Amino acid sequence: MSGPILAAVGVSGGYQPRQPVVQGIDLEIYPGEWLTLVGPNGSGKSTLLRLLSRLLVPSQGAVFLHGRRLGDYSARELARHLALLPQSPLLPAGLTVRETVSLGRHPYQPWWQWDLDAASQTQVNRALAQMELLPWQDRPVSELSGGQRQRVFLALALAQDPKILLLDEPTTFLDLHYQLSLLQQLRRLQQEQELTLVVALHDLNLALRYSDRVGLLQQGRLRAMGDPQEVLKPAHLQEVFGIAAHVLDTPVGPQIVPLHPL
Amino acid sequence: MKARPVAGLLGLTALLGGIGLLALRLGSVPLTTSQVVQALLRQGEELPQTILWELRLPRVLLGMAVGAALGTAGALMQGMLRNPLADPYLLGIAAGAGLAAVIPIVQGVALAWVPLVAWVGSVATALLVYALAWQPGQLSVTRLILAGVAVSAFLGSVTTILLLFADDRVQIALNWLVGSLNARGWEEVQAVALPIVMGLLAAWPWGRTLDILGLGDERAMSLGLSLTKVRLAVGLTATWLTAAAVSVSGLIGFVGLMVPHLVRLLGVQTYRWLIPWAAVMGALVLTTADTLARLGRIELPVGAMTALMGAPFFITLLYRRSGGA
Repeated sequence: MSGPILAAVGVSGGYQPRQPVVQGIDLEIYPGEWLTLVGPNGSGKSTLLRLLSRLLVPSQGAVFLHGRRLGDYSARELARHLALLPQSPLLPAGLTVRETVSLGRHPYQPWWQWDLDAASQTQVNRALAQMELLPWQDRPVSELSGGQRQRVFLALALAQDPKILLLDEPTTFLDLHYQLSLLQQLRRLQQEQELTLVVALHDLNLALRYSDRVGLLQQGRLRAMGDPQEVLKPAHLQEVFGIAAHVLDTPVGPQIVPLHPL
Repeated sequence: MKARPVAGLLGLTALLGGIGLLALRLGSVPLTTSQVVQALLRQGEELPQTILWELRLPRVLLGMAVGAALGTAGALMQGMLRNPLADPYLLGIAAGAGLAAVIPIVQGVALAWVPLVAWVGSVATALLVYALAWQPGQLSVTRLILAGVAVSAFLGSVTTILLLFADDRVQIALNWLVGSLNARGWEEVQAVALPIVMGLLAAWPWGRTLDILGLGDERAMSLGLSLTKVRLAVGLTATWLTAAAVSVSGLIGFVGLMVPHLVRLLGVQTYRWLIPWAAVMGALVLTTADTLARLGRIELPVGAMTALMGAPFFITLLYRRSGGA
């Protein structure tokens, strides 16, 4: 395997000086893999995603993209490599689906360029097609359902054409059908476009089912990292989440059955 | 979807031309269209030529420029602060210009300098608000709005106190504070035409950026925007436009708030198009209001007219829109 595409070395950081939310994170993410971050509420998943995408600057340590410090990239350059989909992005008022998705081309457009060039048009069309949004492209985003909106935001991120996509709880407001179809679409993108995925998830069973590797966060530190079944074993669940649980074999692989809190 | 904003903008511009012609015709001495055209070509009788060139034309042009500046600045502020209640005066510009203008007026000194003093007052206040809102490395929208409101309140009360002790000059000061285009001529047009045209051209390319801000801070940053830079640059562009407008017209209210919403009600939502539309719509609204303001037996300041006529019209539109949908 080639070197890591994204690496955190001794990263600490948070929102107030001297109060780091995550501490001493060492992490290597390889091209084309799906890494899921799990952990209890407040364990630092979102903060770590923000540090990895430079929305926050580490108070200690550094993040490297292709071996180069994140801070050495210009904002637009970084946006061509890496896109973060926050947990609840806002809806731009009144914009159509196509107009919204087109915003993803911003890092490639000079400021004076009024219309998208041909290459950008192609990319937007592809993103709309991949998320099955072409029939909706001229509808205002505000008229869509929650599941469809999430697809719009994902299409916007795809139009950005990043190598790494970081997603913060992408399934939170979705019903079961949309949760599964969203993760299936992500897996397809990962396989077809060698997109690297870093996903924060609450649902441990979805993490077990879709990830190549899982990072388990506990109070801002990386408690365990590696093969999903190894990381999400009952002993860890007991220690980090404070629950007793069984892991059962099912048609979709091993799945966790939580028994009771400890 | 694409032809509509362009065609609409052209239509709106044509309408502005029509309203402009009407504004040149109407007044205490009404002119016919052919008289207006003749006078524009410096032909025909003396009187229409004088009325047109000395009085009406500079005033109509100034109204268009001021309206375009306020409409555009309103759209910039609403987009930058992501707040539908934002207007060009939110960052303290009106209060700063008001105080700066009222001082020479109540003292009865340097009245010729009022426009320049008001301009300096606007820009200085906006810079002060930015300085107060600044935290190392970031510029939050909440702090900007709060600083703007606090500074406005402070400067506003100083102005009020000055007015309380100004007895006979209150009338002049009030006229300025309300905002008027009365007795403005080529001098004012020359002073602000170029700055306003520059500001309008500088505003247009911000459209896409303002649309991206609509996705929220984090998504905007992850698309390569620097929020601090954008808030500085857009705010300064809006300040530049507003200060130019205010310096010659006083504090004409409501246009900057209403015009972007009016454009949205017409179905233009993306800032890419909203910004140029707001410029033309602002010119249209202010020219209409100023023409109405000078038609009555007593000429009203246009600033009193914009809200008096604008607010009921705007409310009717809002209701018809929500009722019909």
